[in-house]
Amino acid sequence: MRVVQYVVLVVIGLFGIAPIVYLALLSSKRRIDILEVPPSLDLEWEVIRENYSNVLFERNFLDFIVNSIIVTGCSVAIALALGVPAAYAFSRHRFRGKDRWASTILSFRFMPPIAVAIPILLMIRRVELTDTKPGLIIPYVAFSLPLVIWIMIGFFDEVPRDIDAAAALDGCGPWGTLLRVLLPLVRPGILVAAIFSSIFIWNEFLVGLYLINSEDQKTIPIGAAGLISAQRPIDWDVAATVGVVTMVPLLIANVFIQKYIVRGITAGAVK
Amino acid sequence: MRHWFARHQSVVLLGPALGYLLIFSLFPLLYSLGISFYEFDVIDSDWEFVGLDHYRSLWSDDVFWAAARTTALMVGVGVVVQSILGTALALFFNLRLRGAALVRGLLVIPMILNPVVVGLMWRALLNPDWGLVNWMLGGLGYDAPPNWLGDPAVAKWVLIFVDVWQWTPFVFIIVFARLQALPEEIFEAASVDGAGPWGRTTQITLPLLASAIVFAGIFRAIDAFRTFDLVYGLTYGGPGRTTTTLSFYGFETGFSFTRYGFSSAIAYVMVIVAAIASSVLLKRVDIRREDAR
Amino acid sequence: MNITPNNDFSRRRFLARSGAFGVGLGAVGLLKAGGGHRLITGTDTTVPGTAAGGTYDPMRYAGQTVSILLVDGERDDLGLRDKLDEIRETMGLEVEVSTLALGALLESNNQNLRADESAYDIAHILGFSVAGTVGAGLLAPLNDYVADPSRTPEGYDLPDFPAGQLEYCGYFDVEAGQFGGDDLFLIPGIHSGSVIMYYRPDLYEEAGLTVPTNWEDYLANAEALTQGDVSGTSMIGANDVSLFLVDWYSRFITMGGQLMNGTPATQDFEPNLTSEASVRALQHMIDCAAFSPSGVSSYGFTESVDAFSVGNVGQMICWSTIGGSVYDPELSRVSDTVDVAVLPADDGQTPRAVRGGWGLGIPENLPQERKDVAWHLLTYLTAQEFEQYQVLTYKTDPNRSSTFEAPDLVEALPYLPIAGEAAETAQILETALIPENFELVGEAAREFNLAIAGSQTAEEACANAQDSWVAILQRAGHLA
Repeated sequence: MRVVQYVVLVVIGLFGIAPIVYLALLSSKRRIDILEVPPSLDLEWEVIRENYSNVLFERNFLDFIVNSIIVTGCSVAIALALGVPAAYAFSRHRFRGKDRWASTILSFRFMPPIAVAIPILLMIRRVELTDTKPGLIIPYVAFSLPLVIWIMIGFFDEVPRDIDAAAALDGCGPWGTLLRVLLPLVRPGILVAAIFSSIFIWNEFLVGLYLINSEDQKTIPIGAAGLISAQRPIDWDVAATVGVVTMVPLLIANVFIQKYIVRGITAGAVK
Repeated sequence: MRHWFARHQSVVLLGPALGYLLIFSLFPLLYSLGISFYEFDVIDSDWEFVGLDHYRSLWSDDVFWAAARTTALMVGVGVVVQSILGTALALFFNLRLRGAALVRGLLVIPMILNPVVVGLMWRALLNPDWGLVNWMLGGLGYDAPPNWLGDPAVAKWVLIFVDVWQWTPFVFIIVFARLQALPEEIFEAASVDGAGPWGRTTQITLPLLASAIVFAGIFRAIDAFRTFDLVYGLTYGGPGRTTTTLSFYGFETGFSFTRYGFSSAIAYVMVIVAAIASSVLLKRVDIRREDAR
Repeated sequence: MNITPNNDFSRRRFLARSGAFGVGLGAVGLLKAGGGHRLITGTDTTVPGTAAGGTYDPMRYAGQTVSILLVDGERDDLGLRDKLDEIRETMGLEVEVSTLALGALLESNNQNLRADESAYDIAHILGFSVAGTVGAGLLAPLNDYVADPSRTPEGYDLPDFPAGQLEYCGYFDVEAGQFGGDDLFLIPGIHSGSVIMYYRPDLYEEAGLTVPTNWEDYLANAEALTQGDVSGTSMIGANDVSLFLVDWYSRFITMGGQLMNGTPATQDFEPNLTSEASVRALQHMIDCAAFSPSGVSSYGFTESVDAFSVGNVGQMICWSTIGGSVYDPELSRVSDTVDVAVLPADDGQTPRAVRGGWGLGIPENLPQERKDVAWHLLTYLTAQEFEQYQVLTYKTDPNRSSTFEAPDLVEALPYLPIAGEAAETAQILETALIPENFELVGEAAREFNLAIAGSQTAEEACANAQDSWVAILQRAGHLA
C-alpha cells in the first residue's frame, strides 16, 4: 500500500515538474538542436552561457525582472495600504448599506480585464503616464484591491471583537486598535493577500502590453510577448531560456511563501 | 479634526479604497459602457454613435456564441476537474508521506509561470514533429496521436487540459491548508466509531472541506471565465475559432481589428454575466468566513 | 519622450488648415525660409519652414536625440542597435530604439499617431496597415525632403527601390484612398519580402524531378517526394494570416484569380472568394496537405520552417524572409542542400505572390524640427550601406534592388536573386486598401484552416469566407 502511495507521489511530482525540467533542458541547447527528439542530455556550457547572457543582457530580461519586482511590489503595497483598513471597516463597523458596498467591491473581482483595458489605456494616456511604472501600478492596484479586501475581511472576522474592546479599554483609538493590536493578529492574512495579488500582477499581460512601449519599462510578460512573432520562426531556445529566467525569482520566492500560504490559510481557519 | 475622524471612522478607513475603485474601476467600466454605443472610425479618427447596434449584432454573431460556449466549457469542465483533482491531491498529501513537502513545493510552479511561457512550452511539448508528448506516446506504442493543436475537435480539450495543469495547484493549496487546520479529534472520534478510511473521507472530511473547495472553485470559475493569456500563448484562438474565449474575442476585435466599440460591447456582456453570477454567488456563499466554517 | 516647445500651430489644426491655405502657405514658408530650394508637389501637403538649400551635412543635427519604434522579433532592430555608436560618431545623433511585438506595435502606432504629439520620431508602418495610418493622414509627406539635396545625401537614389515596393510602402493617394500616386509618405524599410519556393535539389534528383513551373507539377512533385520521414511539401496550415497570404493567395492569383471587384470609394468593393480560382487554390492546398507532415493544420510559421530545416520536407513556398534561416548552418540542417525558385503559375500567368513589407515614416503630429531630425536619421536607415549591413548580418529581406544584386551579398545569401525577382513581380493585396484588412485576412484564414484540418470542404470554406467578407465590407461601408 505504501509503495503504491509513493509511486503516486513520484508520478505527481513528475507531472508537475517535467515540463519545467524540459524548459530548462531546452534552454541549454542551440536552436537547431532543439528539433531533435528526444532531446539529448549532454549539456554544453558554452551554449548555456550564451543563451542566458543573451536573454538576460542583450534582450534585457534582467531589467524586465527588476521592473516586474518594482511594479508588483509597489502595487501590492498600495493595495494593502488601501485595502486592509477598508476590510477592517467592513468587518467591524456598522453603517448603512454596508453589505451592499461590500458586495459591490467584491463583485469587481469578477470583472474581466478586457472590459476596462481600453478605458484604462485611454485614461493613462490622457495623464501622460504611458510607458511609466506608475502608469502600470495604477490599474494593477485597482485589480488587486477587491481581492485584498475580500481576503482581509475574512481574516478580520476571525479576530473576536473582545480584542477590540480590550484595546479600547486600554485607551487605543480606532487607528491604534487597528495598527497595534489587530494587524499583528491578521498578519497571515496580509501575507496571503499579498501573495495572491502578487501572483496575478506578476503575470499580468493584457493591460501592460499596450501601456508600455520602451525596453526599459517593460515587465516580464510584456517582454516575453515579443517572443511570439508573426514573421519569424519562434526561437525556442530563447523562449525556453526566458521561461527559466522568469521562473527563478518565483522559485526563490516560493521557497519562502510555501509555508506562509499554508500557515496563513490555516491560521485564518483556526478560531 | 480628531473628533471628526473619530466619528467618521468608516469614511476614513473605507474612503481611500472606495475612492480608488470608483475612479479606476467603476469609471472605466462606465466608460466602456459608453464606448459600446459608439464605433471608432480609423480613417477619420473619430467616434460614431451606433446605439445598440453592437449588441444587436452580437446576438446574431456566430463567433460570439461559439466563444460563449467555449468559455462556458472552460468554466464548467475546467473548474470541476480542477476542484476534484485539487481536493484529491490535498487528501493525498494529507497522508504525509516522506518527501511530500518537496513535491508540494514543486506543484506550485505551474501556477506562477508566465502565461506566454506556458503557452509556448506546451506548444513545444505538443509539437507534432519533435514534441516530447508524441515521442512518449510513440514509445508506448501509440503511433497515431491526435493533432493536438490542429484538430478543431481536440484543441479546446488541450486548452482545458493546460488550464487544469496550471491551476489545479491553486485549489490544492487552499483545500490542503484547510485540511491541515481540521482538528485531529474529529478523525479520532470517527475511527473509534468504526468508520473506515473511505467512510471517514467521504462523510467527515469532505463535508468539512466543502467550504474551502467551494471557495477555491469560485475563485477559479471567475478566472476561467476571463481566460485570455493562455489562449494568446497557446492557440491564438484557433484552429478556426474553437479555442476563442470571450475575453480573447474581445481582445481580438479591439486590439487587432481596432473595433473598440464592438470590443467593449463584448466585454460588457461579460460584465453583465459576471455581475449576475457574482450577485447570485455572493448571496449563497457567504463571504463572511464565520458562517462559512 | 522628446518634449519640444510648442509651435504656434498644433499639428492637427495645421493639417486641416493647409488644405485651405495651400500654395499660399507654401509661398509664405518660402519667404520665411529665405528661399530654399523646394519642390511644390501640387498637393496641399506643403512643408513650411524647411531650411535653406546647400550641401548635405551629416552633422547638421548633432546633439539631438531621435526615438524610433520598430517591430520586435523580426530582427529589424538589430542592425540599428549595432550601429548606434557609428551614428553617434558620424551624425552626432543619439538614437533611442524601442521595439514592440507586432500586435502591440500596430496598436501603439494607432494611438501614438493620433496623440497630440507623437512619442516617437520615426514610425515603423506595416504595409498592411498603410491604409489605416497613411490613409488617415497621420504620416508626414516626404517629397520635399527627398528632393532637397541639403537634407538627402547624394547617391540616396530613391528609384533604387522597386517601383512596386514604392507603390506599396511609399506613395499613397490619401484623397482617393489608393496606393501609389505622387505623394510620398514612407520609405521602404527595414525589411520587405515576398514569397518564393524552397526545395531540396538532392531529393529532387533522387526522385528524378524538375523544378515545377505550374501547380499541377508542384502537387505531383509533392506526391513523388513523400516517402519515409520526408513529406513532399509543407505549408502554414494553422489559422495564421500567412495561411492566407502565402499559401492561398499565391496560388489564387497565379490561377487567374482576382480578389476584389470595384473599389471602396465607389462602395462596390466585392470579394471573389467563391470564384473558381479561389476554390481551386484552396483545394490545391488541401491536396498538398495530404503530402505534408501530419500536424500541418497546426503548423504556424515556426513549425513549418522547422520541419523544412530539419530535412523532412521536399519543397514548400514561404516568405523570402526565412531564406536566412534555412540557408544558415546554425539554424538548419539542410543549409547546403537547399535551393530556391520562383513560384509555379498557370500558363500565361506571371509567377508572383503577395507583396509584403514595411515602411519607415515620420509622424505628422511632430513639431517641424523633430520631423527634420527624423528625416536625417531616416536617410541613414534606408541608405544602401546600412541596408546591406542589415541584410548581410541579420539576413532580413532587402528593399533596394541594388541590395538584391550586390555580389558579396549574393554569395553569402544565395536566395537573394530569386527573392529579388519575387520582389519585382509581387502584387499588393487588394484588401490592404481598407483598415478592415486584418479582420478580413484573419477570417479567411480561419475558414481555410478548418478546410485544411478536414472539417469542411474547399467549397464550404470559400463560401463561409465570402459571407464573412461581405458582412464585414457592408458593415464598414465599402460594399453597399
